Amino acid sequence: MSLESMKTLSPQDLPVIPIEKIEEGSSLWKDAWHRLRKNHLAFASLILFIFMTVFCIIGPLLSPYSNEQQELAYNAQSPNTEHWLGTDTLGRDQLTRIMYGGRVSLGVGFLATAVSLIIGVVYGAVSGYLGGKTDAFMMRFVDILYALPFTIFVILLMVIFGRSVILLFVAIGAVEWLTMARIVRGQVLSLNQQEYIEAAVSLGHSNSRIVLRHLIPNVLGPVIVYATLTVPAVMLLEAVLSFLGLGVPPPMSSWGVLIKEGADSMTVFPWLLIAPAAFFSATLFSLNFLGDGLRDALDPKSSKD
Amino acid sequence: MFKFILIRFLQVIPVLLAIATMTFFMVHAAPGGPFSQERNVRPEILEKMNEHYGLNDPVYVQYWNYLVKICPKKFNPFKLFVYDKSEGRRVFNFDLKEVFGIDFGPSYKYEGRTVNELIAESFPVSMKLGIVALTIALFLGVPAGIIASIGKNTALDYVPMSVAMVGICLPTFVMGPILALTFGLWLGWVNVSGWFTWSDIILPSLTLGLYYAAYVARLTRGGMLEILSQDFIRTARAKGVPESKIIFKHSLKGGLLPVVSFMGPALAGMISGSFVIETIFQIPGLGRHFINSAFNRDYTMVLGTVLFYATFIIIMNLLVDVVQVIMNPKLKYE
Amino acid sequence: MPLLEVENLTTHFHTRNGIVRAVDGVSFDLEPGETLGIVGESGSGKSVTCYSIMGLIPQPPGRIKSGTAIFDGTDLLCCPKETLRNIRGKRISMIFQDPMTSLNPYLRVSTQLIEPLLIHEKIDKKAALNRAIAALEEVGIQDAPKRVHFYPHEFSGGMRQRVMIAMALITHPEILIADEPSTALDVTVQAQILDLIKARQKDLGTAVIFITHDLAVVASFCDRVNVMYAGKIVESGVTNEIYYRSRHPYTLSLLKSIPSLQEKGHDLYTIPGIPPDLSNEFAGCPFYERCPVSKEDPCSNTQTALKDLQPDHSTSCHRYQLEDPATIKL
Repeated sequence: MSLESMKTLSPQDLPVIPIEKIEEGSSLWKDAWHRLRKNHLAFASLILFIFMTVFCIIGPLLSPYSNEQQELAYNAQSPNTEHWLGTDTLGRDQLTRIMYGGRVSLGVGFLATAVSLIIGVVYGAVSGYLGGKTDAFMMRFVDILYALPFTIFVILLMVIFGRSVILLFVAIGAVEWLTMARIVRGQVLSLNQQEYIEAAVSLGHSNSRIVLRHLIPNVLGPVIVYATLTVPAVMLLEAVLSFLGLGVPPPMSSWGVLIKEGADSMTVFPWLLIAPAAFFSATLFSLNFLGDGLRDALDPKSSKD
Repeated sequence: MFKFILIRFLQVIPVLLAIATMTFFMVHAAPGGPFSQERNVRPEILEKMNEHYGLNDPVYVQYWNYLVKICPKKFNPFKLFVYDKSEGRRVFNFDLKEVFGIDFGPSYKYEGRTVNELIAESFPVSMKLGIVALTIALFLGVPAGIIASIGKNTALDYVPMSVAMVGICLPTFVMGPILALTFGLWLGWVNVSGWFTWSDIILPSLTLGLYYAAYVARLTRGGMLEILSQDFIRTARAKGVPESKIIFKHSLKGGLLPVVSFMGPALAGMISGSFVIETIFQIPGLGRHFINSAFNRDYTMVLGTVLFYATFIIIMNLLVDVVQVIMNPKLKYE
Repeated sequence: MPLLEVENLTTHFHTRNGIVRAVDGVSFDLEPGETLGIVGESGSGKSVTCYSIMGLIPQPPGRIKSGTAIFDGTDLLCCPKETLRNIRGKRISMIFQDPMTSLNPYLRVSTQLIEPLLIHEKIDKKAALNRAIAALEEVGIQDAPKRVHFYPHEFSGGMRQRVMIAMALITHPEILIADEPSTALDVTVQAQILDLIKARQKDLGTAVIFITHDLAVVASFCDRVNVMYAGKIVESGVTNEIYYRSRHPYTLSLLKSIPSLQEKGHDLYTIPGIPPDLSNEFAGCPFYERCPVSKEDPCSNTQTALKDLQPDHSTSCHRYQLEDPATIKL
């Protein structure tokens, strides 16, 4: 076909390419994005989650109330036009508190996940890469740690060394890295044996190229999926700690703290429990569905059908 | 099989030793002693108390003494059931000192009580709660998962699975208050909190059980779908095996394996769940004692409870492993 | 009177990329005690044909659009599930390609072996177990009384296929459907398994439908052969006819690509192109695009049915139906 004729091609002249061929031709990520788009539930979850995040970050800037501003004259109002979600027992605007609490909850969720991600990926990759006895030993160690009642240790840490946000990140991160390490190690191990890695080696590709082009992209998928599912797990743990009075130190508040306060006064002011619980659950919901959707999108073989 | 259990059992010892060591030094590294929070204590009394509990000894001496005290020295399971004169029958008596010769020492905060006594008194409460919750989780979750896997991609699948997803996203500390609000306060069917009548177990065990029922349902569905797509199911169909037998005889054993391996983490989760639940519903279980003792810096109680929980979880994990090996003949072979 | 009469069987799969016509109007008969080969490339619909007859097609996505499969007066394709289940495993049995995955790893071999007996015959467990041990001995498994209680993973691949054969034949069925029973096995074991099926068939008088992609195996094994391509039977006849006087370019190409029949030193022959996409409907002969013979009109726009050239040989090729075979050059 000449260059001339190509310019005059209309869409109708283009060959109709069946869907598989499009998928073959595009990268894993584009392909995954396509599949995610088609998964309505997961995509709605993504949008809900983005909305939640933006809402918590930007919301407080637009709110006429501050997090700490107490108006005892207006305490414990039910939802009204002034205070959309009512006020708490100290007369603070509940919506504003939820937005501030969301910042802390989401922040802890992401930072602690990042901590667990770093430990888990490094540990798993080293274990899988070195293989042999070292690998067996490192994984046996993980197995043993798995059997430990870690939540109890996080509680102990928070009690003994006092409540601090930094400690919270580290403690939760230190608990949640185990599964990540297992996943990464499993991937690295199986990838080492894959034919296309051997093919790349035999083609004389350098180590760095193999790691960059083959290993990382293939490990990245499961890591992203698991990280997405770790965020809600971390948020849950933080909320449990906050509920027990061991979470973020005052005057900070998180959704867990708000739920605790709501539960304490629910017999009289049920809306103080319902609103933060709804926000918290909705976020967990969206993250879990998004994680499921990402898993299906990134690994079509494991999809439900 | 016996060898496998023995090896796993021997592995438990260093793990428990590590936990004891870690917890001991963590507690001792904490700023301030167990009595430093108490107000209006004259220094000489504080000194006396420290002396009395051996807190003035060097740490390594304290550590060694503690290890010796908590080391199991005997095994007398008959002591688990003691004859109670007032009751006129044998009653369950969970005293670690009588049965194993383990002595966790006196509580620093509950005067005149030993940690052993506190555990013996509160653990059965938590245990009862846990067993009922686990029963709810399995009896709701497994059938829901099986039904969902049979009716894959139909309403039979979507409805229970959506409910399960909602259940997973409603953590215990949200579900608990909501259930208490609805059934305790508005409908008035049961008490909102406390541990007095038989019905007091309903709400807490539901709260804990429903959460895990959701996980169990999802895992059952996944496991069953995995098995139902295998070649050997086709073989069974080709043999003319009826659908009910395909499910219960050919698939269930393999399909429930993920649920069995989940029981280890579920148990650990139920223990931390019990902290929350026992706080919400004001239940005098071990979870609440642990949280209180942690807040009160009741060192011996914290140490004792952590070690007790750790041993319990590890033994349960061992049990789960054994069940897994029994269920999966391939593992036995290897 | 044929044992099994399949008429115009059509099975579709509804997938995201459209309707895949996996089996498209297949008809054949099976006589008592004979061995019928079904040959074709992967995806030609040979397995789906047999799974449809056995009611083993997962529905959805699969759907049997039309056709009948009359076995002893019963139409297997539309009889009640209960009736079909009573025939499956009792009068029609099946063995599968991969013996590693076809046995349930969670159940002892004994449990699986006696299952057809317990379901289909009034027999107590003890008697059934004795039959199972006897069946294992008949397929050449030594130490059967002990090994019957093993789990499948304690057997090797070839041994597992023997167990599968014992299980399929334990009820003395009238038809055995063998879906590539030797493909997943080592070459030496393959021959043993084929011999075993042959021997058991002789003892029990079972009719065998033998699905394979290997024409060489067919030659030594089958009385008659159906060659399938793109969900259709393109050529059908007694084995010698198909083997020595094939009347279809596809069969001829297949024969040409058997390595051992080619002269030493020559490049191996391969059929050009790839099997067609079954989600498209064909205007003409499905093999047209790859056909080494014809690039002409009747083939590109007209479909032909199987037509008898002689009583024991039929083809769906236009050219062979119309012209003298001697004039057709491959």
